[in-house]
Amino acid sequence: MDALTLFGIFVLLPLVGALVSYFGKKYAPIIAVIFTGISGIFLYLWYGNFGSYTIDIGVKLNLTFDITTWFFMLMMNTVIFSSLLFSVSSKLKRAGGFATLMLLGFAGANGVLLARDFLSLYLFWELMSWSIYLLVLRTSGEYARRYLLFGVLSAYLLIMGIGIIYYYTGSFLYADALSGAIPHAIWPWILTFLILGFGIKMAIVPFHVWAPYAYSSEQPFVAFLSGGLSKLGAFGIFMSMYSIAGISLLQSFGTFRGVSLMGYPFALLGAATAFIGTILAIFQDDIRKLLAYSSIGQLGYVMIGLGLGTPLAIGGAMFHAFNHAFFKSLLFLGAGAVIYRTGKYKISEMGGLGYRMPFTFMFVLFAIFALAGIPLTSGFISKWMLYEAAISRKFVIVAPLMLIASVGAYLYSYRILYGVFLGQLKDEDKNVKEAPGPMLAAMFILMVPLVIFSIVPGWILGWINKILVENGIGKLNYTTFSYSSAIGGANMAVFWIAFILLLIFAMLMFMAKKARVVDQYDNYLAGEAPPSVALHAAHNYYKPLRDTWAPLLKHSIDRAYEKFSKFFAGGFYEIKRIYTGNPQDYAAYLGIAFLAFLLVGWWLLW
Amino acid sequence: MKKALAIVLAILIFIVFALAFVKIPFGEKMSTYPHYYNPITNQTSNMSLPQHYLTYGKNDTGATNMVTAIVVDYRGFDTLGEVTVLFLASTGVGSLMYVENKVKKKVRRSNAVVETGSKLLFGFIILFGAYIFIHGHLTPGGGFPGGAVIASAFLLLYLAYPKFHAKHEKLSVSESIAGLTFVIVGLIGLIIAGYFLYNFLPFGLPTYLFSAGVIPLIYVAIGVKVGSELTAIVDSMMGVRE
Repeated sequence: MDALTLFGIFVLLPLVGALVSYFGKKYAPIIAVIFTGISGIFLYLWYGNFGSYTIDIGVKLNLTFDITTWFFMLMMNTVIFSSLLFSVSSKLKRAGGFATLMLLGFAGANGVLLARDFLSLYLFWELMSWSIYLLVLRTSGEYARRYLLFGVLSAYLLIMGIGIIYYYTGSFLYADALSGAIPHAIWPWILTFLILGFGIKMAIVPFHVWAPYAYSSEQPFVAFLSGGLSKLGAFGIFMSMYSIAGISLLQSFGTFRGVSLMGYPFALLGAATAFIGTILAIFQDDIRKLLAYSSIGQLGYVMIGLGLGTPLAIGGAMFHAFNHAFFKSLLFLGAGAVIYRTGKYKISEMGGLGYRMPFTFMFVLFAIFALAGIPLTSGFISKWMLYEAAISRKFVIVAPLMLIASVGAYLYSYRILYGVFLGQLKDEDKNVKEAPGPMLAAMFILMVPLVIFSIVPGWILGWINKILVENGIGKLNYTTFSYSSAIGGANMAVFWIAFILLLIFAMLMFMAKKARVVDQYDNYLAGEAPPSVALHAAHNYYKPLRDTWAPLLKHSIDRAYEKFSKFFAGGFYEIKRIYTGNPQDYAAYLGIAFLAFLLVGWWLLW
Repeated sequence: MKKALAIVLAILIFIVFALAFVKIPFGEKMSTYPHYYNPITNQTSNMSLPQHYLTYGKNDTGATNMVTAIVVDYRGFDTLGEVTVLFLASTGVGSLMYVENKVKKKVRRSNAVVETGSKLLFGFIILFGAYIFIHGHLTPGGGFPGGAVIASAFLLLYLAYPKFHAKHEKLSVSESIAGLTFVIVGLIGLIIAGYFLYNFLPFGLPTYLFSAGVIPLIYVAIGVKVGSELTAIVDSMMGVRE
């Protein structure tokens, strides 16, 4: 394998696919699925076939295929494959454009993951960023502009960081950044620019306001955006902190309980993100917005782990990013299936769909377990690793915020579960059918890794351990079924044995006593028979909680941004008023300008 | 308060831009620049780059306006890129201004002076723009300013008549034909002499309209392209009006 093969399979092939699928009309998503499938097959075949290739085309560029790249590509590839498979049957308008833009985003993402030099990183980053913009634009111009503002801000921050590095080293390679050419005092600036630039893509507070809007576009795309592309932010932060700068440089800025002062503020930012995202998610009635805020909150956990920077924390962050890629895209696809069948977005208008869409319900249920971190799923291990990383160093702000956010995750997960799938079926949804085959297949593909890595977390911990060792961070203590740390650890085998025993016990109980299926009305109304009554109380859910939080919810970052923009728009409108529309005014301006010109010219010549 | 802050911000932005211009060297000695290297003949001139352009430019390209000689001949390929960037900017503005629910803006009728004046001036402004880019190789100016002048004529119509709308289909036709002309002229050069954008036509006598080979041809194409692109930008910025 050489650089061209690598580049060809992971970047050029999706680009060719983008071109071909544009003319595919109705079959465009199928063509796109095939193309992503091909690069997926090579990804699985080439595991272990790692290498680094430097190309000199006037500037030195570097493509590297290593375990970090492979790990993130695995998420990216699985998520886009299932998202495109989902979109096969979701009857999108202008499907050709959709598939093309998705594949462009995929090519950009792969390029970002392969690049080990800032030039190609930036080019592929922009390719990815612009295809997101155009995909959001398919739904709404306003949402797209909100995304664009932050996307451009992210690009500017990145280019500032890159520019400073290039100014000192004269090379774009990651490896050259640490050659000693950059003064020590400059590094905090570089790292802040890079981390914030990548963090915007992860929707870190206070740059998260684009996410709820962008995540309200077409579900197959949003699944890829939330599950796949937002992980590029995590990848970028990991690379800039632990590969470009390195742990010894980070530690040289002073430490706080063994954690670099360069990383700790970002861990705090991550904790704030997890907290704010979760609290806002609890009170959303639109299922898309709920999942969007939940996505923001979950990526806050990843940010915490990357900020803390101990082997356990980074391992937890990587594991959580991996889990999040699967469960969040599964949830978005599940929501997409429900929206496709019912045409409704509001949770309070749905209900009882679990009886009509049992398979979707099952998949979403498992995703919710993983999201909430129920101690059987891989979501539990990753969160537990992050808790232990924070608790073992006695971080009294980060750890409680994480725990509150985790409780909040239960609350909003339950809102989805009850509001959409359980409870009373609405009359207009009586004829709703199960989601079509490709959609179910897509969701199934995403659920399989979640189940597997819930039972044998050792496999994924092995990959993460390799990443940590390769970047010189440290290593994890793990076995096939468990991991251990200084203050505990977790053993999934115990959990699963206990779970299976309890399940058998419950089954026996269920068999012993003959259960009778009771109609919902009988259950709720004790046999009385009114013609129709609403038993489903999903409207204004969590109102008591909302009242409790009201003083805090009064402050909103969204509104702060809007106030800020209104303030300046108002000011600029005042300036705009010099265009009065009266020709005499314009004549006066002309006279004044001429006078000023004369005076300045006279003064300059004198 | 609001007004003051906005003015302060505007001044700050102006200062930042002005600082960027201060960095550009102005009035430096020409000999400080590196010597001219001709990649085709593989020779290094004994003069600096600006000196070489001013001395040999007329013989090399046949154009009397040295800026045009550099933009269209020496650096013609860059100009093709520049025109592409302008095209991208125009599409970018189009996508930025894209609104799904088109709210019609109420526009006031402009006054009689503007209406009558624009009616009288429109033809002259177009003529002036065309003059600027047709004489690009002889006098100061060229395709870019000429195109901007043409777009300003359309802007005047937008300001004078609230209901005026340039048809996007026609604009894209003229733009595509202009862009194609540029590329085809370049390709003919490639076929005849083996270099993209080779100046294959006879140079003629300097200071005559039909001189300097393909330069006027390309500059007319650029003028039309820039004019229609800028008009499209103006059109999409105006939004849907009543």
